[in-house]
Amino acid sequence: MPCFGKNQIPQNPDKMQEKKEAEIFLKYFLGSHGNQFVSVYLNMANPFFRADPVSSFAVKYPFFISVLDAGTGLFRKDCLFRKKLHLAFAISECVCPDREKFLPLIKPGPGIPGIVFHSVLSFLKAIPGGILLLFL
Amino acid sequence: MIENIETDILIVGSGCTGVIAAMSLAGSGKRVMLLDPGVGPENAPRFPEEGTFEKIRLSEADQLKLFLGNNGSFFFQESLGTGAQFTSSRKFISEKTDELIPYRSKNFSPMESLATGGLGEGWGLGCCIFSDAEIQACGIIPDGFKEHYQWVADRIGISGAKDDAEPFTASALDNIMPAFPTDATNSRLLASYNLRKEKLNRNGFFLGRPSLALTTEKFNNRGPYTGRDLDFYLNENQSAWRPSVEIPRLVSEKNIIHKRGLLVKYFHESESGVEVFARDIKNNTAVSVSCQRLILATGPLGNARIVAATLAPDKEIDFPMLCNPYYYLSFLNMGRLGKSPGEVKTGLAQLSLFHDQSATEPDIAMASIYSYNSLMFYRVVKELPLAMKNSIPVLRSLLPAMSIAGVHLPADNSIGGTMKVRGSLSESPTVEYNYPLNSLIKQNHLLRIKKFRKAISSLGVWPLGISDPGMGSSIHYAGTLPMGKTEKYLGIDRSGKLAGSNRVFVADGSGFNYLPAKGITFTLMAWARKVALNV
Repeated sequence: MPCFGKNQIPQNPDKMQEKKEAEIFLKYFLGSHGNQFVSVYLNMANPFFRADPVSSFAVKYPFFISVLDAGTGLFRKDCLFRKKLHLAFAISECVCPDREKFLPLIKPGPGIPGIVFHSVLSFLKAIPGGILLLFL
Repeated sequence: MIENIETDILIVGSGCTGVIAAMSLAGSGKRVMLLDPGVGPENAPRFPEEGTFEKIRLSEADQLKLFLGNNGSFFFQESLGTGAQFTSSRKFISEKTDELIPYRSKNFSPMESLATGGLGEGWGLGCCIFSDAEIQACGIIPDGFKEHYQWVADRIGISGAKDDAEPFTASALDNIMPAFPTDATNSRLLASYNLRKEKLNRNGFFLGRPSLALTTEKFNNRGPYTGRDLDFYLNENQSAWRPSVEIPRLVSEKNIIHKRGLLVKYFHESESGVEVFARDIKNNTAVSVSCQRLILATGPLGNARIVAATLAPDKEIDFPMLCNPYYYLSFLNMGRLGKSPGEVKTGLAQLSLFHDQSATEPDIAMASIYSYNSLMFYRVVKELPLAMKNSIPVLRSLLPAMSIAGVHLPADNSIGGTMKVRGSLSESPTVEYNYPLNSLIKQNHLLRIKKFRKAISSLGVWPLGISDPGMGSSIHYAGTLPMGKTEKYLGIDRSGKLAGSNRVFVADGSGFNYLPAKGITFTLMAWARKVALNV
């Protein structure tokens, strides 16, 4: 039977997973600035936390978050991964250093060309994202 | 040990109707007490006294507290749900309801409030006048009712315009202040309507400015509203009339006692008076209040719980129930894509579109049209079929060009909505709601919603979609204690008196037999005035 010292209490694997998800999702929106808000994320997500395969995959391979973000937007709008990402988005909207980008009165949007550009970009990312989702 | 309190007239519920009843009784020489569970905004974030939405977004340090709060349920719930529009500073309105007034239902999600001011603290301020046919369908005698509308209007302060919406709104009353200007997107809609209105009018559609309980000029130490675009977060200069504006004045100037913290369970009426039994929601101790007259103004659902526990404890009662079906329509004004929203911004309703499809029947439906201002991107980002990260510049272009129409449809008893209550003198009552919409009814709703979509699209905007937030989301409920010409068990008479009682009156929509689609709050307030005069 293993014996643990005072500082060696094994952590709840769910808690570990949740913390990793918080770090990865916040980093996706806020870069290194996101680390400061992990506790905010955990505080809000904790009562609702469940592990899910898409988030676990994103934690393991953070490079794919962008395509999973696009893929779930198009194919799995109500999945748990997107809900978790949604919370990270909300935190980033509140705390990101360049808040102007959320304020059309200060920084008007890019108009039709910009909408087309970002939509096409998102759809292109959704293709590999959608393929990945078939396996998750 | 039961704490006992005494008063002459006890008003249970401090929402719009309870407060109007209290205002009507102030100066009567009677001791009046206003009682509520008292959940309050004490923990809600405080916004700066000055500055627009943009300024606060850019300058205030604690953005998380102001604009996000600390409850993650918004992100993890299954659907949009009822009350999704409540921001962090308004969350208190629905606090503790899950715990203290639980319910079961598969097809109905009501919103109730245990807050001081009740659901009135989230009131959208729309003031509509019911036609005589609508008033009659509700069960009220229309003769003289207009005087009550005017009495309320003179005290709360209403702004509006003389236009095509006037026959449906409170703008036809005296002493109406000018409406706040519309923003660029809605000005285009209104201009477009004025060019095409003949055809729209022929099809029963009438567009105009809503009348709002909003003071656009100085009024009784309130206002004027200047449009800081923070309507979802604070009450600028107290220009919006809500119960919390009036209660402190009632307490300080009119000697009304405001007792907070008590959730009423049941009452007992005798020859000498009424004894009301309540629980202190903080320490769960029992409190009783003795009074000569009792006015119930907790809302149709709260009143049903109290009446069930009083008249038939431990028995199941099926109360009838009405609720307006509610849908959202969104539109894009292509000419405004990527443009700045402009300096005039408000989160309040800017236009009202009425659909009067029958000149003789009380069957009017109503859409309130809003711009997407001062609400954060995160509230809508999940609806786009895009990567959230790519949505930011897209939303910055789309939102200033977007109009959202919240459409209410009228409700009558044909659907057979019910509230099943097993009241209890000692425990919380068990409540189960059933609001069955068969496919035919649903189809009829959608047909009418599509008429609205067609009418608004004809004003030169692109329809984006129809959202159905589910039954209960209109937050307009009525009819649990139907009003009759004669006394009927579990009902009220036309003076507002509860059947079988001599001292208990109902001052909210519990007695309404019909629920018009026009905003109901102003009529409820006029009704509360009428009832208070009968007490």
